[in-house]
Amino acid sequence: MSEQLLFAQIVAGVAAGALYFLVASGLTLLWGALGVINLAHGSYFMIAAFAATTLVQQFGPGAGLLLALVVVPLAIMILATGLEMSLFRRVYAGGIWGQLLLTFGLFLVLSDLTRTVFGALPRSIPSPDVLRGFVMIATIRVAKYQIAILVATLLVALFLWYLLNRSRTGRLIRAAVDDPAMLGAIGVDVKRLRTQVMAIAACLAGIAGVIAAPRGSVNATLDVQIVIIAFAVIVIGGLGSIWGALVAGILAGVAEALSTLFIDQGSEVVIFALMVLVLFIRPTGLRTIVGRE
Amino acid sequence: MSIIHRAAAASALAIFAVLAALPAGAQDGTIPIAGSFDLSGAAADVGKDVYDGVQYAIEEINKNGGVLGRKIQLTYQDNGTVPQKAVDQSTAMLRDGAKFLLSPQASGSAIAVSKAVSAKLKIPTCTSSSNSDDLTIKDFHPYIFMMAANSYMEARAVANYLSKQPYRRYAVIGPDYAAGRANAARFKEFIKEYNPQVEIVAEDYPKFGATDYTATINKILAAKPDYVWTVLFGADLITFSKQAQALGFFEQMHNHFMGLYDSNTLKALGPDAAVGTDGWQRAPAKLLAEASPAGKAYVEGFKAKFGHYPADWSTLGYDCVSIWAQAAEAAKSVEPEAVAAILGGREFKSVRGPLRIGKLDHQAEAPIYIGKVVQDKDYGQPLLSIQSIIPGAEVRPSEETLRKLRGG
Repeated sequence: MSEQLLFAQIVAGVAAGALYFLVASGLTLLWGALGVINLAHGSYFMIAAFAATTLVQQFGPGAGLLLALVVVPLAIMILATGLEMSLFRRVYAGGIWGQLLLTFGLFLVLSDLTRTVFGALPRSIPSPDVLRGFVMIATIRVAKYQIAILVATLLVALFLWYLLNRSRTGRLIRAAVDDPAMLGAIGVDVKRLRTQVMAIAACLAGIAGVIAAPRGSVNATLDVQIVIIAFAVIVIGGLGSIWGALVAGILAGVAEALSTLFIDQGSEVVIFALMVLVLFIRPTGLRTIVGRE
Repeated sequence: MSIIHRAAAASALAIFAVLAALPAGAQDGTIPIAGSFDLSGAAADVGKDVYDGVQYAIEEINKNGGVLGRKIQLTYQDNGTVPQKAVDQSTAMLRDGAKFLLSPQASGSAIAVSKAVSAKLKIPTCTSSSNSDDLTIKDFHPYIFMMAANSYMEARAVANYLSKQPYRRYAVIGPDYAAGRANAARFKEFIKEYNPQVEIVAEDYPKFGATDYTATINKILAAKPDYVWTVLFGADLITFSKQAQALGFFEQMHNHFMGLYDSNTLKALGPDAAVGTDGWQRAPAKLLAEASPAGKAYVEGFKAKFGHYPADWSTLGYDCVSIWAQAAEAAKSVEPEAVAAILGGREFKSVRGPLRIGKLDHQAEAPIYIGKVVQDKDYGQPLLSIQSIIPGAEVRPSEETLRKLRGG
C-alpha cells in the first residue's frame, strides 16, 4: 500500500464524511436537544435532491443549482414545519414509540409521494461547469465538487456554531440539551422551540440534499441509504453535539474509505463497527450529554 | 313458496355457487395472468419499465384477437422489492386462478418466488430482468423460463470478447450482494479460462446503493490495471460514472472500461456518460428497430404509447408475455402443464429475433450485445453503438455443464 493511496483515501473519506455530517447535524439537534426521533429525516434529503434535479434540468447546472440552494431548503423547512405542527405534536406525549411509529409511517408516505411526483427512474444532473473536473493536491486528484462540499460543510458548521452560541434560539437549544425538564419549568415555549428546531433540522437536510444531487444518482433509495449512516454518526458523535457529529462524520467517512485498502467488501459495516467501538469506550458518544437517557 | 319458486331460487343459488367457485377471468372469458412487480423500493426503476413492456404486450395481443380467441387480463401487485411480499402476493394471485406469472425483477425476489411459489403451484413463470443463473441452472424447475441471457452466458460472452483484446491486468468491481458477487465470480472464472495469462490485480465490492465511490476509484487506479470490468448497473453505475469522470478515471484508463449499460442508465448520465468506453446491453432499442420490421414496429409502437423509446427491461417484459402467448397457442391450451411442457426446445418469435428456449433449462438463447458508448444524435442521448452480437447459443452452458452444475 503506497503513502499516496493512503493519503488519497483519507482525503476521500473526509469528503464523504462531510456529507454525512450535513445530514446528521439536523438529526442530532432534534434528537439530542429535544428527544425527537425523526426516521423521515432522510426523506427530506431525498426530496431536496429530486427537487434540485428538477430546477437544474429547467435552469441549467449553474443557475439551477444556485436557485435550488436558496429555494429548496426553504421549501423543505415549510414542509417539515407543517408536519411538525399537524402530526408530531400529537405524539410527543406518547414518548419515543409514538414518534417512531409516526415517522416510520411518514417515511413510507413520503417515499411513495416522491416516486409519484418525480417518477421511479434515477436522475442525474451535471455539476456546474466551474466545479467540474479535479485539482491536484500534492500527488492526488480531488474532485473540485468535493472541495465545494467541504467548503459548504465548513460554512454550515460555522453557521450552527453561531446559531448555538450567539442566538437566543441557540441558547435555548443548549439549555434543552443540558436540562430539558427545566426548560418548561422556567416558562420557555417548548412547543415553539420544537417547531423551530424541526425547521432548522429539515433545512440542513435540504441543503445536504441539494449539495449531494450533482455527485451521483438521485434515486428513490437515497432516504434509507443516508439516514442509516446519519443515525450511526450521531450516536458516535454524541446526541445533541454538533462538533461531535462533525468529528464523527469525518471519522466514519475516513474509516469507510480506509477499509477498502484491507477488505474488498462491506465498507459500510466499518461505520457500525466504529459505532460499537466508540460506545464500548464512551457510551454517550464522543461528546457527552448529562441527564439524557 | 311454490315449487316453481323454490326451483328457481335453487337454480339461481347453484349458478351463483358455480360462478363464485370459478377463477376470475373464466367468468368473463378472459385469461387471468398475474405479475408481482417491483414498483417501489430498490428495483422500482426496473419494475416500472418491465410493467410498461408487459402492458404493451398484452394490449398488442388483445388487439390481435388474444390467445386462443380469449383476451388476457393482468392482475398485479407492487412487492416493494421485498422477497417475502413477492412470495405472498404471487401465491395469492396464483391461488386465485392465474395461468401465468410474471416474476419479480430483483434477483432475490425472483429466486424466492420461483422456488417457493412457481415450483410448488406449478405455474409457468417468466423472469424478465433478473438473470441470475441460479434460476435456470441450480434451482431450475420446468415451470420457469428466462428471457435475458443468464449471468453465466453474459460473463462468458464478455470474457470471450475481452480475451481477444491485449489486456492482461484486470480490475473487477461489483455491488456487494449475492448476484453481484456471483456475476463477478463468473467473469473472473471465464476470463482466466479464455486467457490464462490474465491477472486480477484489484477487486472491490461497494455496497448496493453506495453514495460515494471515490475510495473504490482510488483503489482501482492505484493497482494500475489494463482494463476495468464492472457489473455495477443502474443507479450505482450512474453514481460511479459521475464520480469517476470527475476524477479523470476514464482518461487515465484510456477508456479501457466495460459496464452493463441499459438505455435508461445512459439517458440519465447524459453529458456525464463515459463516451468511448465499452459496455454490454440486453435489448438495445435502436438496433432492434433497425434489425427487423417486427423490431421497428415494436419500438415505434412503444414510443407512440409511452412517449419514449423502450428501455431494455420493457423489451424483456414484452417478450415474456409474447412468448408465453405463443407457447399457449402452440399447446392449444392456456393450462399451466400444457404450456410448461411445450416451452423447452422450441423456437419463438421475439423482438430480438428468433429465440430458442433451452430444453433442459428453459433458458432463452438471448443474444448479448457489446458496443461502445457514443452520443447518438437520432435518439438525443448516449447509447451503445453495438459492435458485436454474441449469439446466446454460443455461450449457453452445455448439457454436460448443466448436469455438472446441478450436481448430477
